[in-house]
This record gives sequence, structure tokens and C-alpha cells, in this order.
Amino acid sequence: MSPCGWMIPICLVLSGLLPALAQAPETPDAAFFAQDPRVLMRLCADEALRLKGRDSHLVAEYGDTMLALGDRKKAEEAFSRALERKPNDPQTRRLIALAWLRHGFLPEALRTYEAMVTLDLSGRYENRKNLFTKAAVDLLVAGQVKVAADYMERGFLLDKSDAANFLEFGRAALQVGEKDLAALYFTRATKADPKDVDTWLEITNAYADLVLRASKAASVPKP
Amino acid sequence: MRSTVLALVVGASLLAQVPEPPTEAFFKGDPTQVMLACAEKAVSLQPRKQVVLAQAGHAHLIAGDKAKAEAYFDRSASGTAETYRWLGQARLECGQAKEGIAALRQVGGRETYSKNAQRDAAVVLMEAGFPKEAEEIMDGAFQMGPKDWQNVMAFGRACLRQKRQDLASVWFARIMANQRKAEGLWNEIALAFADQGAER
Repeated sequence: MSPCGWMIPICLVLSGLLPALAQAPETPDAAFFAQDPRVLMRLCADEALRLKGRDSHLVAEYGDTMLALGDRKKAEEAFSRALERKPNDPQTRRLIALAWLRHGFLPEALRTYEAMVTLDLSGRYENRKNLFTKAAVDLLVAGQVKVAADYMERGFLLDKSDAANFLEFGRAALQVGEKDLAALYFTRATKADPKDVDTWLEITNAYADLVLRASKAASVPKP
Repeated sequence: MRSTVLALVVGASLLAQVPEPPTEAFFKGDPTQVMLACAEKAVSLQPRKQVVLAQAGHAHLIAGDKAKAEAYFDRSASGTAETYRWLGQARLECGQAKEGIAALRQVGGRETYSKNAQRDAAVVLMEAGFPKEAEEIMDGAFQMGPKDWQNVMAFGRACLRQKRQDLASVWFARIMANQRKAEGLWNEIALAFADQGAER
């Protein structure tokens, strides 16, 4: 083989190694953060993992970034590692579910949310009603109205007095245009806590956002 | 003429009332009327709290009732940093840019430790398209809490939402200068880019 023939495979091996060798600088400057976002995302995620690679939440979010980069294999490896570390931690499951959901993998997201809300919580601080609310809000924002409403109803049946959870879901519902669902949960929130000024302000501001968005949409000239 | 105006005013205030108990039908009603009724309900619960009055003024300004909004804003003057953030946000959202910026510039001077309210004011300004003023106020928040990387991330995300990676880059570099090893900071920057600045 000619010298040129040997060079080609060597160059290919080296170019394959380059991304693995790339590392965030010790003192990153503005120019570093101004580079191509996809290159930056990988460098930042790798550096996060290097600094704190045993934290299950961080590893799950590393998987989120990998999904954003289209690297499903690396994402799945990260999700498995996160679950190995904290198999019974609802927040680890939620971060994984949210990652699937945000990047358009609905069946994977739904499976993970169901696993989260049915976790054995004995001896844990978490409250199942809050897990239902988190799953419901995430899914509602992603447009999965029916599943979201079902989860929220399951949370409501566990505790009919949690105004904060009802408000959070009601606000999300109004944001995505589900006015009837918003009305149901605002009614439940104000029934649970009728004298709390913050409850009324939250609802005021939720409708303020809606009115503002409607007026902006109306003022955009039609093509 | 006077009786017609009086009837209209009375009519409007009657419309803006929360039924007792509140019903789903009420919340399904006209969004502007629901907003106003809920604002009035909040004021009835805490009629002297300035931050409540500022938010009620915000609602009335959005509804187009400038006189009532100004009356609430007058009553909320001399309030906390958060009150001024609401005053500024209300005016910015309703097209009163000059007054809005002036109110937001006062956020930093209201309390000795107002870095979070300043951060919120900076985000409001960035989202309203006033990056220079936003950075000026964010600078105040940063000086008050130079290790608060969560505040810088919130502002950096706002910059990314406005497609201003150039500005976000400066702030990320700034916080990295003293918090490079902060738990989660690198991860948050990766996610901020992955989300294109959208809030989580």
C-alpha cells in the first residue's frame, strides 16, 4: 500500500476520535458560548457529566440533551444508568418521561409517566397526588389532553383540597386553550381555598395572559 | 347623559363580580370579565397590599380601563421591588414603554436585597424587546448576587428565547468566571440550548 493509502484510514480514525477528545475549556469565554449550539450542547452536557456523573437527575437530563441532538442510543444508555442508580425515585422517572415527551417520543413518554405514578412510595417523602399533577401538566402542555385530564382527576380524588395543584393545572389548561378544563380546576381551587389572595391573583394573571395573547393575535395583520 | 354613564359604570362593576360560590360557568365566561372579577376579589381580600393593587391595575390596564388602572397604580406606589416589577410589566405589555422602563428601573432601589425581582424585571424587558435596558438591570442583580447562577440562567434563557445567543453567551461566560464548578451549571446551559430558551 502506498503511503497515501495508509494515511486515509489513520485520518479516519483520528477524525472519529476528535469529538470524543473535544472538551469544555477551563475558563470558557463568550466566544465559546457563541459557537454552534449543537456543538455547545454536547460539550456542556459532557462537562456536566464529568463533574457530577453519579447524580441520577443529571444523568437523566444528559439523556434529554442527547435526544435533542438526535442521539437516541446515548440517551437510552443515560436513562438506563439513571434508573439503575435511583430505581424508585419519581423525579428521575419524570425527567426521563419529560425528555421523551419534549422530543416527540409519545409511547416512551406515556410508559415512563405511568411507571412514575405507580411507583411504590412507601417510606418516601413524595406524595402521589403531586406526581399525578406533574404528569398531567407535562402531558397537557404537550397536547395530550385526555391522558392529562385523567391523571389530574386521579390526583384530585386523592386530595380535593390541594388548591396549588389545581391552579397549576388550570393555568396550563388555559395556556393551551382548554378553557373548560381550566374552568373546572379554577372552580376546584377556589372551593379549596376561597380566602387565599394568591389563588385569586394566579387566576387573574392566567386570564390576563389569555386576553393579552388574544389581543396580540388579533393585531397581527392577516396575509 | 350622566345617568347613562353612571348606568354603564355600575353595569360594568356588576359584571365584574365572582359569584358565591364560584362556578364553572363563571370561569367559562368572557375572559376579560373573569380577569377583572378575580382581580377585584383579590383586592377585596387584601385591600391595602400594594403588590395586590399593582396586579389589579395590570388587569384593568389590559381591559382598557386606564382610569381605574392608574387609580390602583397610585395606591400601590411606594411598594416593594415586586410591586414595581408588576407596575413596569403592566405598562410594557400595554404599550407604555417609556413608563414601563422607568418603573422597572426602580425595582433595584426598592429593597436592599432585590436581586430576584431585578432578574424578573430584566427578563420582562428582554421579552419586550429592550435588551440594553434588560442588561442594565440584570447587571444590578448580578452585582447583588454574583454567585447566583440560577438567576443568570433565567436571564440567559430569556436571551435565547429572543434569538440573542450573542447576549446569552456573555452572561454564561460571566457566571462561569466564578461558578465553573457549580453543581448543575453546565447541565443547565446544555438544556437551555436544547430547549432554545423555553422555560421548563
